[in-house]
Amino acid sequence: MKKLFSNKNFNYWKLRSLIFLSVVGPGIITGTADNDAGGVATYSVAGAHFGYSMLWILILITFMLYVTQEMGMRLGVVTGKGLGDLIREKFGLRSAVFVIALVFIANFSNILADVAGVAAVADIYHIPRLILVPIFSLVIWFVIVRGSFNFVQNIFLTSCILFFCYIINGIISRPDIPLMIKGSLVPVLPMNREFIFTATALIGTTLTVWGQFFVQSYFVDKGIEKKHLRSARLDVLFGAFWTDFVAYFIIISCAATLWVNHIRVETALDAAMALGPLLGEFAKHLFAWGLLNASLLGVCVISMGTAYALTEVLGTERKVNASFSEAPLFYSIIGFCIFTCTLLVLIPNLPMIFILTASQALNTMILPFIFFVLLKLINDKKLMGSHTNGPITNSIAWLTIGSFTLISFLMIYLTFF
Amino acid sequence: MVLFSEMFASELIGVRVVDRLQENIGRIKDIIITLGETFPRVTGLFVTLSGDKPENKVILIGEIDLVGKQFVATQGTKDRIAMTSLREGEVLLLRDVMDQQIVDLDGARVIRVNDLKLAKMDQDIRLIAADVGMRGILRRLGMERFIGFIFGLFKRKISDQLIGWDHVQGLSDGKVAVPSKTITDLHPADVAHIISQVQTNKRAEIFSTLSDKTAAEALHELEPMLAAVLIANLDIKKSLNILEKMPVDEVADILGDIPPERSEELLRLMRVRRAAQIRELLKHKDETAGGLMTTEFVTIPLNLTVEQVIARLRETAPDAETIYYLYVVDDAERLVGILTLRKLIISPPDRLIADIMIKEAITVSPEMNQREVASVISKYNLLAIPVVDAENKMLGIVTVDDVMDFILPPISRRKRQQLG
Repeated sequence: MKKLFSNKNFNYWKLRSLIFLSVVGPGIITGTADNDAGGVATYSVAGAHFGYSMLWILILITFMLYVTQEMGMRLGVVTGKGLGDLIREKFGLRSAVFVIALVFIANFSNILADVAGVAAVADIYHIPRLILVPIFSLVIWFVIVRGSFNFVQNIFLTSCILFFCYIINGIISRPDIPLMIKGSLVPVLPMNREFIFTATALIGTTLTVWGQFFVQSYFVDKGIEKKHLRSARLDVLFGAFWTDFVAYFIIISCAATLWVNHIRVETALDAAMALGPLLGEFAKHLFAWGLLNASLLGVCVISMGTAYALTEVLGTERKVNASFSEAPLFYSIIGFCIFTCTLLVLIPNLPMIFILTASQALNTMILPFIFFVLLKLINDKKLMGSHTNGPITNSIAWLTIGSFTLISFLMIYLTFF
Repeated sequence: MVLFSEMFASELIGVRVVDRLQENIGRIKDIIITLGETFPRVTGLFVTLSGDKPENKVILIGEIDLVGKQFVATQGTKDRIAMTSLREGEVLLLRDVMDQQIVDLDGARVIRVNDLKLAKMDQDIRLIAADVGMRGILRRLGMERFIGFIFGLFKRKISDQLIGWDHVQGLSDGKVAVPSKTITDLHPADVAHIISQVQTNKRAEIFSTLSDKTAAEALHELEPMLAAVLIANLDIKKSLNILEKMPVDEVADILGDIPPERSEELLRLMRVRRAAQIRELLKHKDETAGGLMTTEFVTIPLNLTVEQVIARLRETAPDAETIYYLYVVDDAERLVGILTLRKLIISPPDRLIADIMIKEAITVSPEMNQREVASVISKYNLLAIPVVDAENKMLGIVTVDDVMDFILPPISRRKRQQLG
């Protein structure tokens, strides 16, 4: 994603988009990119299958999202380096390769989810997956190789419409207010497999591995200085709030429409029906369009982010505007991610919604490692000087690591035993 | 005297240290070098002593007899080796150099150290090169042989990518290497390339070491946003000096991107005439001919002869961006013709300008979109095109290098970026 923000080969639209992005801050970007196909699917399932009972988790992880993203931001602003750079410099090559392998797995599963999102759209319109998914993958490939990001930029803005619709829809679909408040404030954690699995996916789609890398490189590339830490913090706070604000309304929409009618989300079409109160028959089309956009943005941002993180750690030159022959590794990684995912998704009769949620759950299992490394780095006095974590941030971070580890093990236990 | 040929630092880490009777002493943890010479000298080994209580000690290189991949042997017996503790400020290869970023001055790029090559020069072991390739990574992961074998099956070799230490400049503290030349000696375009690749906080550091002239040229090569950030954060006096060396249109581009208070402050401190020109340019939208143009161009009155014009050019020695075109204006400053430098030089001295100038000048309006300007310039193969207002008064010129990016096809543009 760095390509979006630090492009040496500068021209007019990029300047315009930079101005736009610097005005809205990373808030809307994270919010929109975070709620990619995997996100929309997971929130829909959470709302449709468990009603309002998962809202408390969402509220809890909003704090965790803020704390971890703020740490990433601070690390980037103070050191001026990306997370991959720091891991390599501070922990050496072996650990860096280990961490980056985990990052690759997590990101790959996210890309898989986003490509699966396209397959889900194909299903809505009864277009064969075999046609739509490869076309989509090729489009993305050309966007990335040719660097035509104004296209992505515009697409990205239209997918915001979907999220605004969810917010309005959440209000007019007459959610059960007492139940909603109870669900938001009273923690319940039934020990059944499905609940834990969905909860894990919910966490993994809100806090993401790639998001952690993204937020840091975002602030590094913008060249924010230490004296602006305060306003950067506000940016991050707004971003965390916006992400989960949208998520909250997706869950409510689904709870108020699908859950009350005992409709389970098996396909994307089921999930689209949650937008019925606002859009009626048109819900299907908006949902499909939003999901397609979210997928497009997700695949672009995550695959490029992965390639950056990997090349950063391996120390091959940071090629911002190189062609394929000049940066073969960079483009090979992107190509591998996109086309392998395409092939996997094309396996017949793959349950798309399951793939979407499972990939997010995998993300949760990898997060503790990343946060651990993050904590090590941010509490390094030599690196951070007076900007290390305070005791409160540290305990929230440890709590996050602990609870994510716990729920991951719980999920594995319940799945296999 | 040490027995040693050449070896990579990663191959030495973890190697057993024994005394002359093959008695075990410990394992190498790190390698100590002294800086100050082009190829830093290895002065000692940082060793984790074997025993119940693992302790780290320094064994000076003078005590070492043989350095090999299997073991390192000392000259004396175990009880007679002088060992010291690690001093503050000592440079360790693994801790301070490995995995850090360096500048490859020949390739003008920022790259990460994957491994370090040591070799014997005269009587000393010295650090001679950085391994920045895939091979270094595989070696350190212990996979060099395995991957090498697989490559071998396809009759290929893993290529080495070594950069001589005399062509390296360190970034971490700037003290790791003493190169034969420094970043400041490079071509401004290369400097710009390096600046755009290093981490944010290093950018200003490198930038402030440049001479005003190099800085000005490097600034032109940088992405506008980056250039703006650099200028905005620089000491005001230094940034004035740098801006002084740049053409007004580029200054206007940069000032348009930095906070208004700051650009206002800079404009106030500039020469009044220059500041007025820049203010004029700032009024135009970035993407139009007005935003691209420079106000530094040469005008000549209509009634002169060739000889007089040449004399006048010499006298005023214009520092305008281009003098390949001279713009002929009437008393009301309206553009009436264009005189090329070529025509001027080959014409007899007593010819009147009015007779040899091109009368149907191709012009653009300040509101024209930059892409259209580019297509006009490329259509008529111009080096520059005048920008005129509704009354045909000269406002400025757009030179071909300002619109180069719209003329070149995307691929060659990329190439140009890479070369530059």
